[in-house]
Amino acid sequence: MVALRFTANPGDRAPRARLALWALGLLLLLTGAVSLAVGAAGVSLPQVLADWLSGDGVGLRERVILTDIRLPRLLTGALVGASLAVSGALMQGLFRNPLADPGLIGVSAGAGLGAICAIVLGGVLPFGGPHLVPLAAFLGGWGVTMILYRISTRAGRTSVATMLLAGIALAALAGAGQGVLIARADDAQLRDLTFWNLGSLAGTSWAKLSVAGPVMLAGLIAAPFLARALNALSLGEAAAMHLGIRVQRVKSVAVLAVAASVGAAVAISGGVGFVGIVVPHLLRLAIGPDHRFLLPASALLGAVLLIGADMVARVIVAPAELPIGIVTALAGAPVFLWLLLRKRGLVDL
Amino acid sequence: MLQALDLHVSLNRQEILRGLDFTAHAGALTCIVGPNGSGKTTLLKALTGELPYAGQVRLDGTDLSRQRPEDLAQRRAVLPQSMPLAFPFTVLEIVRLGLTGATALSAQAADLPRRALARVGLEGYEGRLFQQLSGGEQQRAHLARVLLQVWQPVVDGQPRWLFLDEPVAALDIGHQLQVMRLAQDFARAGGGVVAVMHDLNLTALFADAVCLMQAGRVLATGAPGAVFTDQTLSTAYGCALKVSTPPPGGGVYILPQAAA
Repeated sequence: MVALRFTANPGDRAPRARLALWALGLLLLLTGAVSLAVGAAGVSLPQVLADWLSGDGVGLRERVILTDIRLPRLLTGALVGASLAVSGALMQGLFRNPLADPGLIGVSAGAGLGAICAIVLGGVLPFGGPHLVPLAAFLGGWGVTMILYRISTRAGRTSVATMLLAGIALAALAGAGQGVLIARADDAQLRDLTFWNLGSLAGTSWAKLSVAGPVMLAGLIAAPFLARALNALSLGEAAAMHLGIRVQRVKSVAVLAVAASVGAAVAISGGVGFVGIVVPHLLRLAIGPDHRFLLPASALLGAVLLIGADMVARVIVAPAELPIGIVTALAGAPVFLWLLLRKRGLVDL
Repeated sequence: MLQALDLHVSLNRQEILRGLDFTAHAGALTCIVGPNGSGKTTLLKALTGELPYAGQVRLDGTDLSRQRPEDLAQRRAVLPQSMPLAFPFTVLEIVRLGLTGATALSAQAADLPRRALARVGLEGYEGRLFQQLSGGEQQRAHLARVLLQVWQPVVDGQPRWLFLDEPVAALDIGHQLQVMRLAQDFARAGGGVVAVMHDLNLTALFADAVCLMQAGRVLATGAPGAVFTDQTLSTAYGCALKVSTPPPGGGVYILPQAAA
């Protein structure tokens, strides 16, 4: 394989991975800049920069569009994309299964149930406000993860197989709960639900980002500390333990990091699918499965993809907007199917 | 010295180890043998802290259950029976996982994986994908990783330990001898080796001490020449076995008998 002869030291893909990290970092900056310049309202980025540098002052309209609409949206997109991709990579490493995903073990479904609860029942609650839906989504994701963890942990040891199966059952249960609530919803709520279910960054604001952002950031910061342990875990739990890894602690930290960042991501953006499964997959093909590089690279590529998908969602039917979940599904589902077929040896690409 | 006292292990409410004592010395190759289901692998898993047990296991004077995993990893390495690998790592990336603690920080760390691979006869395999190796090659690559983890058999006067679960099961006869010599060399250099074995003749050839198990208990223990008798082996394995002495160099070999 060409990929493996990339360096003078055969089998060592670290130099190649470092190069990829730099390239992805540059790509993220570039995508971010383009995303700031693109939108329904015409704002010329070079003009804004020129005005700002010459000291003339940036026009109020431009300033509002850039700093109050596009910038929080850009940062939210980057954080959500990075969180979903890194959570996918963490789950796949933990379950030693390249098809594992937070969507699979019910974290996303739990968050969805929380959000729908808030939308449908929110009106009858004496409290509420703009943070109710994100908060409920976060609690839903967190709750499912905790139940799952309790079910699959006996005497301090977590059974990954039990967790996977229980996760599928809990996801189905949360889905049924969503169905019951949807049946009770009125027309206005149904529109909200559909929009939220498909995923969107349209409602983002500095206020919402200030709630969900730190949680997602915390998950992203925790992830690299698990890299060496996840590498050892790909040999199995016993082998990892013999290599000096505290397996139980790694499992707990990984599950908490995923619950927190996916809960927060779903809370702020709704159901954005396939990022967590496609991004780590593509990166493993390019730079290998070493988690020391896979996790940061997933964060960067996840951010790039979500910012890109958001641009497409904003521009393609402007001045209206497509839900971003539709864009990621349209792009992600075929890639996922291709990966499955490739794994089964049905297509040779 | 590795010492287990009154060791009990139960799996799914079934008692696998029924109060056995076990001793292995640094500087010796100790082999655990016995029929299928006699508890050999369970004993090894208890000795390495992988399975919860009742009783006591002491490794060079310290209680195994009080050791932190990262400290234990500096004192012993374990080669399990089978390990399906989840992701497409290269052979170099797998072997390098064995670089832990002080070895990882040493000046020669970059060169050690290559040398470990050379010792198991896998020179030039660094860039191959691990999952594309044959079963025997995978087992030897894992052995290289395990050797790397305890590269120096003695550190600061303390022996390090190798635990091998059927290290030659998937190997051809040439590589069986190579791996057994590696284990023997590690013991000769002052380290301790405990290996679960199926092949009685290889055990007779290489082991310094043998622990013969039957039904969760130790049936006999001592030098191979003392443990391997017609009577003991035939009882343990439930079939007629004849122990003979080959003409040159002494030692024994075991000949299965066609008629029961």
